[in-house]
Amino acid sequence: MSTRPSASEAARLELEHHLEERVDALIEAGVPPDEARRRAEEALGDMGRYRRELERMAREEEARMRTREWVATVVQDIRYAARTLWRSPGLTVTVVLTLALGIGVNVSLFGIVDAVLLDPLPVEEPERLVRIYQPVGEGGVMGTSHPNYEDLRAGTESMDPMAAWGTTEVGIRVGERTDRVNAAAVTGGYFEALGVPARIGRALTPADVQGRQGTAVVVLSDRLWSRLFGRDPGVVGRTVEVGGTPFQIVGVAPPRFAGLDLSDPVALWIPLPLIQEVVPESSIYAGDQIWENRVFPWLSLVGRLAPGVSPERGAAELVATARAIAATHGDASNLTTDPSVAPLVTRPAVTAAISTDRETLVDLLTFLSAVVAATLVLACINVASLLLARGTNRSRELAIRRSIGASRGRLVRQLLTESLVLGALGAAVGVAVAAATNRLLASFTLPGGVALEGLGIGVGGRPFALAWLLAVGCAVAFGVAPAWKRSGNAGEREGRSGSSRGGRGLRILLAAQVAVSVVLVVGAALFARSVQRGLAVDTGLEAEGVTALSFGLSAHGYSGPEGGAFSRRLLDRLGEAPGVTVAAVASHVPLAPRRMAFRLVPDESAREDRASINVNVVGGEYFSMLGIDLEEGRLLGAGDTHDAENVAVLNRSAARALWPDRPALGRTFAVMRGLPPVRVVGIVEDAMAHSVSDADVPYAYMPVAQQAGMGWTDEASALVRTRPGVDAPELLRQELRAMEPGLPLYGARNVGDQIRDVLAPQRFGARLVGLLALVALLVSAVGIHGTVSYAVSARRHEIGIRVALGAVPGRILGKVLGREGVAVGAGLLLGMVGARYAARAAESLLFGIQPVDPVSFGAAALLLLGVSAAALVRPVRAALTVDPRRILTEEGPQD
Amino acid sequence: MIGAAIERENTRMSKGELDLLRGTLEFLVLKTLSRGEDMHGFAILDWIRRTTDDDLVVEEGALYPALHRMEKRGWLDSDWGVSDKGRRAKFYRLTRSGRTELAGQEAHWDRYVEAVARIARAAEA
Repeated sequence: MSTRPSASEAARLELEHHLEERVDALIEAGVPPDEARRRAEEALGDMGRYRRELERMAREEEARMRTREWVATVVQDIRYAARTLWRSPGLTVTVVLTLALGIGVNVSLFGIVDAVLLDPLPVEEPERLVRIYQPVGEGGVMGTSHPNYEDLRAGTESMDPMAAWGTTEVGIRVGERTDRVNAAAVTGGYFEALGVPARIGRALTPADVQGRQGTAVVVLSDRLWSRLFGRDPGVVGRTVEVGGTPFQIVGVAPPRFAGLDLSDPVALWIPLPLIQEVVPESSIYAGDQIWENRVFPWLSLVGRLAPGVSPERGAAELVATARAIAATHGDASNLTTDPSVAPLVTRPAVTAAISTDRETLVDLLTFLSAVVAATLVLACINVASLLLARGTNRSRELAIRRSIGASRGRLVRQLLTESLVLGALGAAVGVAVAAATNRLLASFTLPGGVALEGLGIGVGGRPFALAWLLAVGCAVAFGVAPAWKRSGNAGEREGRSGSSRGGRGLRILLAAQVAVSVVLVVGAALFARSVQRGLAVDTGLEAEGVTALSFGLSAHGYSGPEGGAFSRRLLDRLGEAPGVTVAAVASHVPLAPRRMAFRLVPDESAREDRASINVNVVGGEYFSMLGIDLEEGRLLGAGDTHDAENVAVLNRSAARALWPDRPALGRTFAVMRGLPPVRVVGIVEDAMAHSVSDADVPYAYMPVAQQAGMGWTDEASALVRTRPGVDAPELLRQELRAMEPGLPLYGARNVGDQIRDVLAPQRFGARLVGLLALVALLVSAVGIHGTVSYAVSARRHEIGIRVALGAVPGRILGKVLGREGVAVGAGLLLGMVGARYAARAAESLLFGIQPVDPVSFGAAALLLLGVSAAALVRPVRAALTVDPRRILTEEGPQD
Repeated sequence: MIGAAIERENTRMSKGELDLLRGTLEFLVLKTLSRGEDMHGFAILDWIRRTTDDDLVVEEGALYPALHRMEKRGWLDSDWGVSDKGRRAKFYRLTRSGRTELAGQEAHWDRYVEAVARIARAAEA
């Protein structure tokens, strides 16, 4: 049998053969030859057509074969790679774990970035949703009243549909268990406007709201459903008590959906009118004012831009509608009539999802992204150096395969397959690492009050895709160059002497690893020191166990002097309340957003040099409760009554601001020119007042008995420290309600928790960067160990000869490891320079320390040196125990 | 007569009839090769022609796409060799799967022929 012809040749040959046979047969039957040919062709039919058909079929077949062969070689490559990797399990495990750590932290952080910034709202077309607010003060925003909402909705066509909601904390009771959760009372079109379908059951619909009445139905969040009911699908139709009223569960919202505010996630949704059924009678939501009062801004608004409407046009129409409302109702509308000020402001719902500290959050996540990327780069460098070290060992094998005819391309493919197999394993383990990292970080709260736990960050979907993308990227990064280099003739030479090009490549990678590690360790140290400093600043306040509840006296008809009397009675009551160890009142609670600054006028000041000082009107044991220490003079006391001399206590910064060049104690200032002077009777230390980074904000503390008019009646807080186990918010509510039924009560907060929350970015950063630094150290140690071990083993022969010639150990080490030492040193230096830049970039996230913090840099350098030294122990011992007799009997260098 | 039908339909074939033709031709090829001899295309056609006393008239070229199709399906195997007359030719033989296919088609044809025959007999009676 002869060989097969090509596809087109075969088609021609086969048909031609047929014709020849037919011609022969015809001639045999007596047909003349030229006539025979004609009749043979006629019998065959359209030869060109058949030929083309046969060729096409042959080509298809060939293509199929080629695909099959290609798949077969890929499978063969993978098998071969798997065998190779299996033969050196230590190396394989090291590489896979290194990659998995690098990939895992990236996937984990990307999951956070995705859930917080890229895709924060699991709603339909989130970019078409617009949040609508009324402006208040400078740059502040607030909600809208129900009448205004109705008029806005009726008068705006470009926002369709519009929806509104109000939130309140409620108790939800299932059996014997009651949980306090955040509830949203929503208009009937809320779910439709957001485009959020129910996960099971149904969402709330316009039919659930009938004017000021509603159906007692509730939709649970996915999280609440799983917490209370263990994801039981039979929950729809069951009845639960919300705020003491029975509600029928009609549905469960889709996973991740918790309203439009990431920092204030909603656990259940009820029809708007039902808010009155779930709040106590004294609540501000209890009366008819929620429907009738135009100045009561309890609703949050969202609108979906109608098809084809630009955000600008939508906003413009809203503003026009709002102006029309303001023109009709005047000041009673609570909308500004000032033509120079927009009565409404809009924000994209996606960015409004994080309402406060969004910039800090973006800064933090950007910085951390850079850090995790650096970690991955480090992992890749490490893997490259490990593979390069092994590559020189394998060059003999590759040289053999090349000499028996394997093409360079084939070898490159083989080596690349090995990298890809390593990458794939790294990605698979990396996803597990990401899941573990997510669990480790779950309890953290990001800036802006975004609790990671509520975001449902997983390792599926986009983060999962990222893992594989990174794996392929890494495999190519650490695989291609070495593969190309090793597959050529260079590999052969390289194997001969460890000190040639391969050795240099390894040393460059060694330096790079050390450099990246230094940057990461310095970063971790800076964050750790920030947190430490933050906690140190914190000692200015001892707010652990302190609860504050704020209330509005002037809204309840109180004037200044009456407010002072009220505070005295309140303090008396709280002092006798069971479980309360110490009580105080204040117009400003540390870390509360609201504060009032006055331009105080110091005595002996003819000029206009007044200083802006924050005023805090306090009573009771305010200073001792929060641990604010007296430095000079006395604290405010019971003797500072309204008919005594007006007095104040300043903090150190305020004293300095008012009288930069002389002692403040005993001097006087005026709140405004013409008002009676206030005498400074004491100086206290600076304490964190508004945020951790501005502990030195000037404050003047004045007694409530004298200055209740200075903002105290607008919003004041009662503070108590209670014994453990006391429900302090409830206690405060009861006491205030008992004194003044119907007094508007605002939120209660745990001041100690708040102070800790302020440090959230630093804590989160410290935890994550610390984790990464640990990984980096580990990876560097492995890299240093591997590189130096390789250097020693490659030069065993040289070492043996030196020992035989009587060299002392120190000299041997100097000769053999000198270059590796230089590489580590260069890496350290380079890393320090890099860390300097990194620290400057992260400056906004640090406080209490300089970016170029000598302690952090020094500690990082020492740590890296220590780790390097530890990694050197084994290879150095190996070098010193080389037996010259054995080496000299060997033929030559053994790779 | 099958042959007559094929000849007529060869000029303009509708889908169903093409399938019938294809099926018929493939069946005949399988049957021819089932004798165990390796044969080239012309020999296969020649044998069918002689066995059916020239009743089967078909455009001869149509045989080759059919052979290639059957080879692709794995019913036939082929090799290039030299014919009795010393010419280079492609020789076909039946594979195991081709033999199975033939058995199936034979059963089918038997039933078909029998059914047609029964109708013919019924019409005659």
